[in-house]
Amino acid sequence: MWIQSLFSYFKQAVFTLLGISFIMFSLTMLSTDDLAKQLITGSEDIIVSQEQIDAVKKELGLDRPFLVQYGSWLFHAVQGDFGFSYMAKKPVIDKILECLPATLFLSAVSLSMMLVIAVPLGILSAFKSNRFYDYLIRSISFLGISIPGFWVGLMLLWFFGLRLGWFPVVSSTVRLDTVILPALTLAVNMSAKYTRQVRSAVLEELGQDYVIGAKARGMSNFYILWKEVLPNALLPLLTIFALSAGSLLGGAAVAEIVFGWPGLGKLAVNAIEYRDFQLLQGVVIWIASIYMLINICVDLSYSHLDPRLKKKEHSHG
Amino acid sequence: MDSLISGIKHNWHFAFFSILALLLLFTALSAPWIAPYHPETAEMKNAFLPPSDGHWFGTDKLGRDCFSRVIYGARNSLSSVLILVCLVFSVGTSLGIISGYYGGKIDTVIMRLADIMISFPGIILAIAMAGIMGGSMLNAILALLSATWPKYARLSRSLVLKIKQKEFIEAAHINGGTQFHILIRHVLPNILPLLVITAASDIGGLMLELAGLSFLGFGIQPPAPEWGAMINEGRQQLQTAPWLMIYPGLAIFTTVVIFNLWGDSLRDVLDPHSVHQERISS
Repeated sequence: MWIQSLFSYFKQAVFTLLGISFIMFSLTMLSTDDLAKQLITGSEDIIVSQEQIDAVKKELGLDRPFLVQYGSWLFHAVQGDFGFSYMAKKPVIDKILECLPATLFLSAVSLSMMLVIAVPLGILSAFKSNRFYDYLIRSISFLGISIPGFWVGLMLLWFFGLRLGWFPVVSSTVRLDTVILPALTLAVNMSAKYTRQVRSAVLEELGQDYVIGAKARGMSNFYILWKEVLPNALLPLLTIFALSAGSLLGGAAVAEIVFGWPGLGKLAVNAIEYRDFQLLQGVVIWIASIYMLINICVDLSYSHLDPRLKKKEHSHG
Repeated sequence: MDSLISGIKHNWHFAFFSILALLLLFTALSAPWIAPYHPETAEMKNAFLPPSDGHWFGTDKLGRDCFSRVIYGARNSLSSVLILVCLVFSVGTSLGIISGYYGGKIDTVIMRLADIMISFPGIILAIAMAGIMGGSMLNAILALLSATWPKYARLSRSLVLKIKQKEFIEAAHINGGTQFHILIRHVLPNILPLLVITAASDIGGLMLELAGLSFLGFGIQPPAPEWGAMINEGRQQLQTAPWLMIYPGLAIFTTVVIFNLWGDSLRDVLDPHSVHQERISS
């Protein structure tokens, strides 16, 4: 049964990756002339004739029918060869693996920040629902949702980086002191969202009969929270946590650009600026794969966290 | 529509935020009369003036008045987000309704496509699409459209599926109503409120994403004034002229806050039970 569900996830993931790569490939095919031109001129601004462009396209095999090109790209990609990046002057896969750790590190730090900020605030807000602290926390998280992430980044950069000089202004090397501001930038929006969700998940559990029962038996708030509410609220929270972890991979692009953080998001944006579509395509596929891997892991962990699901699956299959 | 009017009368939250939202639209429409300068007139001798009585928000590297650019920027920012929301709403909802109402092969195709889009961080696809197609307002809108429609398609499909089993639909069938008639007269009015609420509360979020795209340079191109693009331009002078990025950012922030509050109050007016309903349907 376990193997079976793993297989169906795998099937879905392969299907999705095929779809995404096909969409991306069709898009890049719209502007092969640009690519050829970029290759000839490099960064210089010289005029290129159509014959030169055609010659380069022929050399790269860009004049072949669309499906043939896609097939050949797919054939290589499956073997881990995503083509050659003209921007980085190295194979796409090497460049991606070079930038991946930075993005993972940034994501890990900002997710931990998010947990540290959002979980206590969300729980406090739920326990004090419709009282002063609840209103305060809800108002702040409302503002946090409405603020543009890149602007938060620039303001942090301006205030802590330039005015106070506490943190380095450019975070182009991966260190503990350079990660703080970009991670905080990402954490602001995410914490605001997550605080709301922690609040509603905890609030829902607090309304259950067993909590009232525990209160009637004279259990302390701490006991109720720790032993009763949190284990039950864990499942929805885990889903949302995984979703934010996944969306970070995409959303990080803006923060990475603001701080010059050398991660996948910045790589994608740079690849677009250089019209290096092989690289862009590789990055997008990789981000999609990681995102789906996270989701599959979460789905699989459900049956461990919630025995009811296991039983249900059993009775169906 | 009736519920909207009674909402304005009885729910002062909704009335207040509607007025604020209309005020924003009014500011955008009457920009030529409000703004003291033309947004694209450069006067090099006035470059990088800090905020003062003559230039409330200071001036940028070309000596353009930042306040006027923020006011004019409202036009681009608001119009693009409203176009985007309308497009996403109509495309996503129609696909979802077709999918849910007719079922079969067309349902499979549409929902498979939606599955692909959803199991994937939308913003990275939007960045890639807008980037490849080249920076323009239209391309940014199309990119976000393709990343956001599945949400509406899924929601409206599940609503249609739920409605389809109700007795009054069956009764309409028995009375000889055509498919199209039933769809328009019975299904649509029942699912529309929740979809409208969703669209209204998405305005703020989509605005942030649009601003993010133009901040990255994939939205409307300079010298046209747009808040995200202005922040990107001001970014280089962060140290010497911080006002260049502070005020456009505040403009985005305020606008998003107003639209988010408006969306929330609309939810209260149109459908007090929406929180409950949404949980069931998603």
